[in-house]
Amino acid sequence: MLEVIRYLKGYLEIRVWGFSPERFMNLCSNHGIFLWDVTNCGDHYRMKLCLKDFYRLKGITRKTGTRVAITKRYGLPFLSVSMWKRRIFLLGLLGSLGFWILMSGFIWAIEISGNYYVTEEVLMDFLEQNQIRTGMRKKGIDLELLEENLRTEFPVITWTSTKIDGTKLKIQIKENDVGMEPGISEKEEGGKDLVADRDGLIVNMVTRNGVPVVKVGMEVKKGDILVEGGVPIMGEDGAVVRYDFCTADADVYLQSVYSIEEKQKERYEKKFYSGREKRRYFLLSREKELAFPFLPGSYEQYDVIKETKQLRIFKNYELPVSWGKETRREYETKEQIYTKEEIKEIFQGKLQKFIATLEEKGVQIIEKNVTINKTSGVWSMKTDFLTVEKTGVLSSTHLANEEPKLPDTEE
Amino acid sequence: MPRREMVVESLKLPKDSILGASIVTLTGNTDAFVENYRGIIEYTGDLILLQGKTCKIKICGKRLCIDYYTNEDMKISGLIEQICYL
Repeated sequence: MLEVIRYLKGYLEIRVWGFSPERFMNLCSNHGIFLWDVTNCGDHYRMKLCLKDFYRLKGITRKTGTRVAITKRYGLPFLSVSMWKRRIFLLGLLGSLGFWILMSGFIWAIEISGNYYVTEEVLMDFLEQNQIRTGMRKKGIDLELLEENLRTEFPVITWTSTKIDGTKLKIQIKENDVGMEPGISEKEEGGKDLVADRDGLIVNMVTRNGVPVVKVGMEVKKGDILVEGGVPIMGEDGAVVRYDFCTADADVYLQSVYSIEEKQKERYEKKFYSGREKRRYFLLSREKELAFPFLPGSYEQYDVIKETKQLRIFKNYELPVSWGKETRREYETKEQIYTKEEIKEIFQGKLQKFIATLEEKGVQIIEKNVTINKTSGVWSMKTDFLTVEKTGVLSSTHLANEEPKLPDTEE
Repeated sequence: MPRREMVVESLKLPKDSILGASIVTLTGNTDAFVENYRGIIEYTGDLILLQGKTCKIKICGKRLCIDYYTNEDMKISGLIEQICYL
């Protein structure tokens, strides 16, 4: 501890020689000057004393006829002298330290997780409207207000958590995935009819709720009512007194035909890479780019491949600068002609895709008929699918308009 | 026995402060701790001669060094061979 205090205050090693060094020491102790590490070196003495005490030695040396010389300096007051020689380095060090501290006061990245219905773009637009963007000060964010705004703006979001981790704003949300299907809340409001959503032949039908209007084997057109959402209540005279409204519910399977037509030109241009490529590196800050070398030289036709990486310190401190590599690959284009096998393969791929979308919708394929032919350099494929699928969409019942008339006739 | 010493003895007073006796504390033969002295008369690597209040103290040895030195006490280190009261 004593050493530390001495170091902070600064101390000197002095050389004392002359008429009576012993008297010099005695006078020092009488004046309350603390000496330590006193050694005899033959013709002179070496000792240490505090920097402050050194200035009080003048009278003592005159009295005792001794001479004093400083041999070494220790401590903090002398450190600044040696540091002055390295002032540029020190300035740089302090500057960079200040820069990091300043930069860590901003938000450099926004991370959103847990969103499913609300896309990241929508959330980003919302944040932008609320003046929250990358590059803003951390202090300017009211996290609680942001959470509240998120919940009020998007009713589907039931829980939000926002926190600042390093220079990253982390937004975690939970969406309500129960009760999102439309119509569930509307169930009680009034009658609903089940209406055909495409043309076809009814092959199977099971009614659970409502009054069926069509039968198996009937042809229906788009918009035809399949099941009525109102059960008629008959009076004693056989007339309809009123309707007991409900939401029609039935499984109606419709057989219909889907047709697709695809066309593909026989001739096409194919890229042949020459294997020659040019690379350059770049620094990207916001929209501005600094690339090296400036003029990379260019080919007549080339692809550009860019790999970008965000600069970050440690794990979470993202900086507003990214760097990357840009590669330009040269190619030549040559006109080619598809062979029959290649065309078949292309069409097969397209068919598979279409079938996959149909299956996703729950459509069952019973039969398919594919014809491929070529007319004046264009291949075309026509496919008819014979399918069975569940049909029916809910719409407000037409019986609702008739209802008011009925009580009038009753009265 | 002088009268002053008798009084100190009978009242059990500390001798160092009343009579001005020097205290020399030795730790092995390497460290000596001296209190109650007036000053240094001579100091070389082999000898330190101190002026006490009643007598002189001569410390002989090799490579003698004063670790610290104040008005009240001092510490001597080195190889101490002999202590004489003159």
